[in-house]
Order: sequence, then structure tokens, then C-alpha cells
Amino acid sequence: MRTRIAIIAVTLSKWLLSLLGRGGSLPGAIALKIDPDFLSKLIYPEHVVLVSGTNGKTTTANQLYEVLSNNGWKTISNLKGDNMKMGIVSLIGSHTGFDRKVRADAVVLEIDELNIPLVIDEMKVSALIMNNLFRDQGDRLGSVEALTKRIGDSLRNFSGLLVLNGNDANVSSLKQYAPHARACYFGVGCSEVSQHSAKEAGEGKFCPSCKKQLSYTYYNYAHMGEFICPDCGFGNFDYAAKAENIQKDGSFTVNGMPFTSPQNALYAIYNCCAIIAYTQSIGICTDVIVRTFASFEFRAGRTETINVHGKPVTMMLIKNPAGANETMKYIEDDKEMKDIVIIVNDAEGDGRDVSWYWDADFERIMQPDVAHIICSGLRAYDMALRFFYSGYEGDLQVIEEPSAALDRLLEYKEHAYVMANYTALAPTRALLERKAR
Amino acid sequence: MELKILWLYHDIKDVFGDMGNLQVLKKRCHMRGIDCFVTTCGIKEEADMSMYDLVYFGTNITGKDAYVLEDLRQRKDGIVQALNSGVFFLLICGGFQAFGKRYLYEDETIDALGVFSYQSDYRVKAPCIGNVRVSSSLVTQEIIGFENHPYRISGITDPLGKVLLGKGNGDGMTEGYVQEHVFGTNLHGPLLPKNPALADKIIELALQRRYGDVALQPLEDRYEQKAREALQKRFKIA
Repeated sequence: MRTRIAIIAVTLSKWLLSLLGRGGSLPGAIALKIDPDFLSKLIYPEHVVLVSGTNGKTTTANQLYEVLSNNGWKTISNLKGDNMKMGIVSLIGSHTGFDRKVRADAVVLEIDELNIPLVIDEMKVSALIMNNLFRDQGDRLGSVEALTKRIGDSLRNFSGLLVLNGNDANVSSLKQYAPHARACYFGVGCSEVSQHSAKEAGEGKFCPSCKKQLSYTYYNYAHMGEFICPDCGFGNFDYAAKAENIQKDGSFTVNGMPFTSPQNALYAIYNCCAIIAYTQSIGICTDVIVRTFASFEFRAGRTETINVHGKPVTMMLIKNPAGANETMKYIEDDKEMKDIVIIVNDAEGDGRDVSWYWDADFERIMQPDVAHIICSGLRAYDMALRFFYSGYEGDLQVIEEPSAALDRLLEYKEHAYVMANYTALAPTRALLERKAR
Repeated sequence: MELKILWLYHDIKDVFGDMGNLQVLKKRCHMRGIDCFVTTCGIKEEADMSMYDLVYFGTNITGKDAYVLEDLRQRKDGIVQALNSGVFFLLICGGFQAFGKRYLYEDETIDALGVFSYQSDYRVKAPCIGNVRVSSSLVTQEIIGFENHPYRISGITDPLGKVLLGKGNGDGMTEGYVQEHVFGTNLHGPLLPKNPALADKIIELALQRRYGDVALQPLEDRYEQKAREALQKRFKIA
């Protein structure tokens, strides 16, 4: 009975919120108040897949949602990234009938790493896709090793499929925690842009099993690469999907079949390989995957361009060293003169620890073709110190108030970029949209 | 004048802004016409520590990183020799713990390098996370830093300073460890960009062995002061 009341409550509150033009996790919170075991009482479809990892969860989950939808399945997903347990309950509750059956052929759930233990035993999860584990919001998640263990410990009873990045030592070690699960691995082969030494690697130096130093044949980005432990042999997996023949335009092959990634960056190819490994394991035909990748469009969010009275301003999320480095590679590819605003806060959602400013490779934008760097946000001066001490020779400014910082950017004539961290991103977009009116 | 720095284990878990501390030392030397060289020393690489003015050891290695500790133990004679000859040691987080006597875990006790007598106790209920303020008689400026550590340091006889905000060594009373030519601290983030007075104190102490007492000329510290003010304003509200 409780469960049914909870179903009504979610559906009603979600509908009311949608009338107000809002979404979010409130309906989920209400449902859990009424029935704390809500998730474990429902009847799930055959395919319930969790998508997690530090970077790329939203894109990977969105892309997977489209593959499954294009396959003709009724698929539901938290596409906007409401990825905590409450958000997941909101989504599922509002798609559940009075008979407790979730009305979908497949459920794709982007999930925050620390929320995996909160749902994995409650729902009938058929697969967990784990993309990567980087240092992120260090104070909330602890070290990557501790995080890996926490996720791993929650997999003891898991009997579904683990889809693991075989180029990430911590991620690929998750199988060791899950005796009842099956595992398949994905990875990206060596290409022109691969490196033989890692200058950005913070993780993955030691074997998760025996703690000896791992030996890498190449690195693709950050610590992602092919490795083996010289001592216990951990590594060099049999890949279900490994990208090879990687070209500059984002095309690549997996087992000889050609694919093209919606973005040409290597991290995007990793996302694709995760999806290929998983969808092929459940028998989805390659044509559907290829077609979806070709037509995939990025939703508002992590990288977007807003036109402010004829001036395009490209806005990007930076929230941890690995993500920031990939973002800056994108800016580096623009060889014209540029101006950059960096807006950084240290609110709860950002992590209070700002040390990652120094672990990210901001040297990438301390170049002669970057005319102005304007630091803004609650930690504007900490960011300014990063550039001051690392020898940036262009014009360095601090304008703590984001709106004024963006106004200054709009005065300049060079290409305009805005990098904002987690809690700064949405207000920044709102500011730019207002200025564009 | 020159300052020669050895960065120990630059290749291990280069996180929490270690590189930032080194860039601050380097730039503050350069701005005063002092040459500053940073040499790195990774695992299994050789280095004669007595040849340097300052040895920097950061990272977040713990007692569970057997591979690094094994390498470190083999350097113990060289470290003691360097310490005795007046080389300055700046030990942050992982380096600070490693120089102590041992690591205490729920399930086991692991020997650290044993140069100093304090120990790192991981049998704590909650980690110490947050902004930290420390007052130290060694520097004119209050030290502002960030801590994020799941252990407490016990058995400290000579702390770097008194904690005004945060947990420091874990008891909320003292932070870090100090000897004539050694600073150890739990504060990372990195520590030195926002603490120019502390950075200068370290440079002076490191130069002492070869050049005696050196008076460093003051710098403008524009961004540093502003960054400090922004945080101090917040501390007042809280």
C-alpha cells in the first residue's frame, strides 16, 4: 500500500513541478519519505543499466539512451543529470504503474559514484558501465583508491554485467570485488596522439592488487592507457570493444567495423567504446549504433556556444584536473587570439578543496595567443595565483563578480571562452543568456 | 646566490598541488635575483641529498604504499646525513607522515622512516577536512591552508604552530612539526601561494647553510594579500 501511495505522490508532485516548469529530485524525496524501500518493491524491465565514472557520465548515458531508443525500445533516462538516488527515484517513480511495474523496455541511469552503493542492491540492475575514476571533489569522495573500494564493496552481491574501462587501473579492478558478476572490458588503442609517458597522470600508477608499479605501453590521456603489472599480471584484458585505427575526424574501428564518434576527442571515443561493448552484449545491431553516433547532438551543458549580440562565447565546465585538461585541449586547438574568463567557486557541490587548480595543466592556456585571462568567482584570487606563479605573460585580471567579468570579456575582440566550475556553470549560462537578449 | 631544491618522488601521485609549492619558491627567488633550480628524484633514482639546500617531499603516500616506503628506507642514511649537515626539509602530508615513526591502522602497524618520533594514527572516526588557520611564532603572518587527511598525528613535541581554525594534527590544538631545518605540515592545496611570509621564511632557512643570515627584500604580494583577505573575510562571518 505504501508503495502505491508513493507512486501516486511521485507522479503528482512531478506533474505539479512540470506545470511550474521545474524538474528535480523533490518527488523522489517525497516517495522515499513515504516508503523508504520504494526502489526494492518495483518490477523492473530486463535492461536496467547504471552509467557512472568521474567524467563523461552525462554524455555516455545520453548517447546510450539514444541507441536504445533508436533500437525501438521505450527507454527512460535521467537525461538532465539528476544523478543522485532521489533523482533516480523521481524518474522511475513517475514511470511506474499502479501494478508497481516500471513502464519501459530499458532504463538508463546516470549515477553519481557514491550513490551506486545506495541503489545497486535495491534495484534489479542488469549492467553497470564504469567509465573512469579521477580525482574529483577530493574532500567529498576521498582518494580514488578509497572510492574504488567503496564502489567495489557494494558489488559483492551484484550478479549482472560489469562494463569496465580496461585502460583505467582502478575501474578495471572492480571485477575483483564482484565474484558473482560477469565483466567485459573496453579500451582505446594506441594512436598518433598517444604518449609514452604521462605528464598528467595522478592515478593508476600502482597495481590495485599487489601495489607494485604498473608498466604502461602507452597513455591516451591522463592515466588512461594500456598497462600490465609486471608482478601479478593484472591488466591487458580481452576487450569486448577496443577502438583502433583512430583518425583525426573521430572515426575508428572496433573489431574491423567502422564507427564515428560525435566528438573527435579521445575521451569521447572511450564513451563510444563503453556503449559499443554494452549494446553488443545485449544483441543490438551495429547499424543502430553507427547511426545514433552519427546523429547524436550534445544537449545544453558542458560545452556550448552562446551568441551575445554577434559575439560567440564558448562556455565549458571544468571541475577536476582530467576534465579541465581535456577542455583546455579544445581551446588550444583554436589557433586564433583568445580571451578567457575562468569562474571558480568552492561551494559544497564543487568540493571545498581547491588544490586541483595546481594539478590541472593550466599551462596549456598560458600561451602567447591568450591575450587576457580574467579570474572570477569566490576563489578568483586563488586561481589568479595559479597563473601569476606559473609565469603567464599575458594580461591577468581579477574581477570577482562574474557578471562584471563577462562584461569585460565582451569588450574584447578576440575569441571568447568561459570556463566555469560546477556551481558556477548554471549562473554563468543564465548571465550570458540575459546579456544576449 | 642560488637555491638548489631536490623534489623527492615527483613521479608518485602528483596531486594536491605539490608543484605549486615549488613554483612559489622558485618565483620568489627569481624575483629577488636568486637562481633557483629544482631537480627531481623519482623512485629508484639516485640523488645525493647533501648536495641540495632544500629537499621537498610531498605527495599523499600512506603506510599502505609499500613500494614507495621500501624505496624511501634505502635512502635513510642519506637523509640523516643531509639533515645533520643543515639541509632544509619541507615535508607536506605524505612526506610529513613518512618521516615519523610509524603508521597505526585498525588491522596493522607499519613502520615509517623513523627519523622523528611522531606517528600517524588512522584509527580516527572522521577525517579532518576544511580550511585551517595557524598562528606560528616563526612567521609574522598567520598561516592559511587547507587540510584533508584521514589520520591524526600523535606525539608531536614541537609543532609548527597553534591551530586557530580546523583540526591540524588532529586535536584542533597544534599543527605540523618543526625543527631548526625541518618544517612538516598537513596543509596542502598548495600551501605556499597564499602564505608568502612562510615561503620566504623557508627560503631564508634553506639559504642559511651556504650563505648565513640572508635578508630577503620584500615583494609586492598583491594577489597573495587579496586571496588572504577574501578568505579572512569569510572566516569572520563563520
